[in-house]
Order: sequence, then C-alpha cells, then structure tokens
Amino acid sequence: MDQKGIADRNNVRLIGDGERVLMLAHGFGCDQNVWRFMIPALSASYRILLFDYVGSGHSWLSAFSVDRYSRLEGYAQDVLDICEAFDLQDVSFVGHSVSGMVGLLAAQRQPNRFRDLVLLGPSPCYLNMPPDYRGGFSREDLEQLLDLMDKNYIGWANYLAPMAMGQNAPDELTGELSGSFCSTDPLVAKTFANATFFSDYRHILPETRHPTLLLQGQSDVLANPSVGEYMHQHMPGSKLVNLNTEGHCFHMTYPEKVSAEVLAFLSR
Amino acid sequence: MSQQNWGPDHFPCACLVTAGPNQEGGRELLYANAYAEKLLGVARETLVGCSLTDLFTPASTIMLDTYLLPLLLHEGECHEVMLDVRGAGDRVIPVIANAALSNTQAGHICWSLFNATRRNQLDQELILARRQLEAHSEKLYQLSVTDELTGLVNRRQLKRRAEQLLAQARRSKSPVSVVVLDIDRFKQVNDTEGHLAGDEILKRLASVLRDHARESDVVGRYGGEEFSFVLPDTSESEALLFARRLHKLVGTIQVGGQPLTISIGVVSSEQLEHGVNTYETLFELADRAMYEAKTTGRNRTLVARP
Repeated sequence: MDQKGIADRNNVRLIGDGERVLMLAHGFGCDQNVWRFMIPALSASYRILLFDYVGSGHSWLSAFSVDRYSRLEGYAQDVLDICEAFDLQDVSFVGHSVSGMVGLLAAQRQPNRFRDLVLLGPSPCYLNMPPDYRGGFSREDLEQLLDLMDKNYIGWANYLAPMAMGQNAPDELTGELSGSFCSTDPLVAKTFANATFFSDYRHILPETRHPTLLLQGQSDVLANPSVGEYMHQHMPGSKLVNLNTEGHCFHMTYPEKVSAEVLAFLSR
Repeated sequence: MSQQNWGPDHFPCACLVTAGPNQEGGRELLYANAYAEKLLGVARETLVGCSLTDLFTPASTIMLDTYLLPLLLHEGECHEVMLDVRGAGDRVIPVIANAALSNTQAGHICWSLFNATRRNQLDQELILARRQLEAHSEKLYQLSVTDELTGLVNRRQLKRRAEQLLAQARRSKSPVSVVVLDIDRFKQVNDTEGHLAGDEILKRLASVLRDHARESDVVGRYGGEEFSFVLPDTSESEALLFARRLHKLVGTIQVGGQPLTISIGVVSSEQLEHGVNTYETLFELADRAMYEAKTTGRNRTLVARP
C-alpha cells in the first residue's frame, strides 16, 4: 500500500513541525485520543505521529484479519508499515501498555528506523509465571476478562456478526470504520485481548539495542512495579523511572508529569 | 409532605464516590451509601478508604483501566459497563456500572452500581448459545469447503482461494502457476479393482499431493480423478520442477503391481496479459495442456501456450 493507503488504513495524523518524529502508539482498548492531554507539551518541539492500530479507533476494520492480529507481531507490522509509507528514520517511539512490547518488536525487526523508545507501563507478560515472575494475573483472571468483554459487547449490534458471517467475515466487510474511542467490535477486541494478555515476550527483552526509557506507575495493577524492575534488569541500556502515579492510564491522568519525563529522556 | 431529607441512602443502587484519578490516592473510596453496604456485605467504615482495586475482581480491574477509566477521562461519563465486584467472603457480585466525572476541581468520580445477578445469568446463557452456534457454523463451513473423500478442499473452495491468491499476486506483481493433474487410465483401475480400491487410490494420491504442497499453496480435488494446485509466487520453470517431482512422488503409489502415473498441465500467469489471468482462464489452459499430455502418451507434463 502507498502512503495514502496506509495513512487511511491506520488513521495516521501528523501534528507539529519539529524535525524529529515522535510516534505515539496507544494501548489495548482505546485509540490515539488517549494522547490528547500530552500533545500540547510534546508537539512544541517534535513532530507527532498519531495512528490507530487496525481494528481500533477510525482505522479500516476491513483490513483486520484474525490471523495477522492474533500476535503482537501483527501490530508491530502496522508500526513498520507506517514507518515505510512515510519513509521515517530515527523515530522516537512512545508506546503505552501493550504498545511497549509492540514497539520493541518493531525496533528489533528494523533497528535503523528507530532512535529510541519510551515505554509507558509496559509488560512482557501479564501472567504469573512462578516462581520468579509475577505478571499480576492468573490464567483464570484473564479468562474472566474475555468473559466480561463478551458480556459488555452483547448489547452492541455487531455482537452476532462474526458468528453469522463465518470465520473469514472481516475480509469481506469493506470500507467500514470501527469508529469509537474504545473498541467495541467483539472479534477485534477479543483478538487484541488474546494477543496482549496471553502472550509472553520476556525472551525478546535481552535483544534490546535501543536506548529505552521505562516509565513505571507506582500503583499500576496491569503492570506492577516488579514488572518494571524485571524489564529494566533484562533490557540492556534501559532506564527505569518510577512515577508516583495512580493507575495504568497515567498518560491521561498525569500528562504534565509524564510529558516532562518523556521530553527529558528524548533530549538527553 | 414529610420533612424527610431524601438522599443517596434511600436509593436501591450502590452509590460510591472515589477521589479524582489524577489526585494523590486517586483510587480511594471516599463515600459509600447504605445500599453499597448491603450489596457488598461490608460496613461503610471499612469501605471508605479502600482502593477501587480492592473493590473489583482482577478481570474487572483490567476493564476498568483499559476501557472504563479512559472512556470516563475522554468523555466525562460512561454507562452500562458490566463488571464484577468483590463482596464479603470473596463473594463475586456482577454489577452494571455507570460513572461520571464530577465538575469539581478534584475531579471526583461518582459511581452507581446496579446489582446484575440475573442479567448476568442471561448473559452467560447468551454467550454459551453463541459459542455453540459458532462451533456449529464453523463445522458447516468446513463441510462446505471440503471434499468428503479426500479431505482436500473442493472445487468451490479451490476457485475461491485461487482468486484470493491471484488478487494478492496482482498487487505484488508476482507470478502464480496453476497445475492440473489427472490419473492415467483411472477408469481401468475402477473397472478391474473395483470402486472401493479406486477410492483408496484417490485418498492415497490426495495425501501425496497434500504433503508435496508448500504452506502457501492450495491443492484441491476438482472432480473425479482430477486435482489442481494453485502455486503463489511460482514461475513457469519452478512449476515445471514442481510437476517433475510430483511425477516421481506419485510413482511411489502402486496399483496392481504398477506405479501410478498422472498427466499434468501447467500454466503460469506470466504467460498471460494482465487482466486476463483469472482462475477460470488459467485453469482452462492448464486443463487443455493436461488433456494434450494424455493424448500424446500420458505420464508427462505439458505447458500451456496461450
């Protein structure tokens, strides 16, 4: 696909006219709007590239395939597709939550495209892996999450659609936009949830070659402080900063604090 | 009218207030009404000071952090989110949650939680019914695309997959080859060995073909004793090599003490003008080449020349 095609597919938006490109990648659940509170501070000195993963926000739902997006590599391919379409080099990648691992995968695939990475509340594995890794959740917890997602999307019109149309359905839908801030398409959301919460990417951490900032929230249940510590220990050249914040969405709740850390790291 | 002061304690839903999400201690419960005590089986004094994280199950905490809170911060309110709260003695209570961000400086969140025990049962049943329907529809789908005898894809699916591969190839400007093959003197086998033996040979051939196919290839039974491959990213010369190996492999199947032989027709989309290379055209050309291979001696491969 050409630049226009990719730009439309991933709803790419460019803001500001700084020389260096800052690519902001949203996490599981929502879309690029999660960055809105940080953009004023960041766009003053950087060119901001915002996008939605296929299946999220205003991306093309027709480009979604269960095959591609069942693994985080599929999402990393979205990042690389955008880099290629816009001929980006030396990108600073900022990823929230699952986009931390997505960014790491992309940077390891095509190292030359990236300058450095900032990962907000990342986790390489949400499952507890006794005895020495505590991702925070048991398999049962995460099965219940899929159940809850089902219950929450029952009320949506397209709840029965994937079933009615058979397994290849999304390929046959054309031009339809998913279009709401938080994803409500059951097939897309559950595929993303599976790729996010049941994966284990701890093995790629030691392959890190880029300077990486890890921003760790103090009371983040999704990525608890021991996860941040684990990542820092296994990622060569990483820097861990603990933020005195509540919850997982600190890019929305503490935009000034987070922006200040990001800017300080980028201009190191 | 009585002078009673109506307030949250009179309402049959749990009313909670938590601190603003961007405040120090941003998940702390600041207020709970009487119904909250009843729903959770926990005294108000214990509830106040708890964190939201203590109130919800781990799965619900993820929904909270990835769905409800971002939505709340983006839009100011959210409605009808199904969550599970944890009551006394680790009892799980399904609730429907509405939440609103207050206009105060501190940005408190006001919650109303409705007991959804019965609605939850209905949801569970719906989910179960949906899963059964999904499994059923998947089974029907598989039946509709599979050749019953050999387990390969049938003609309908062969055509469908071929068209997908050709569309991809047109985008990436790479060649696709179509191989059509037919068992030599199969009628004779059926007549002398019987139909069951004939079926057995078709099955064994199908298994050889399946093993010979690469992951990206499609192989199906076109009908009778005629089979076809669609080979993406394969030039004419590569398809010829493929066919040569196929002759050898098929020869390992013995029929009445003789090696089985096939006749093959090959065509590559490179040979065709752009736009004419539909599966129908390609198949027809390869099929014609295959019949020519039959009439000129069998057990050989011919390339179609459009």
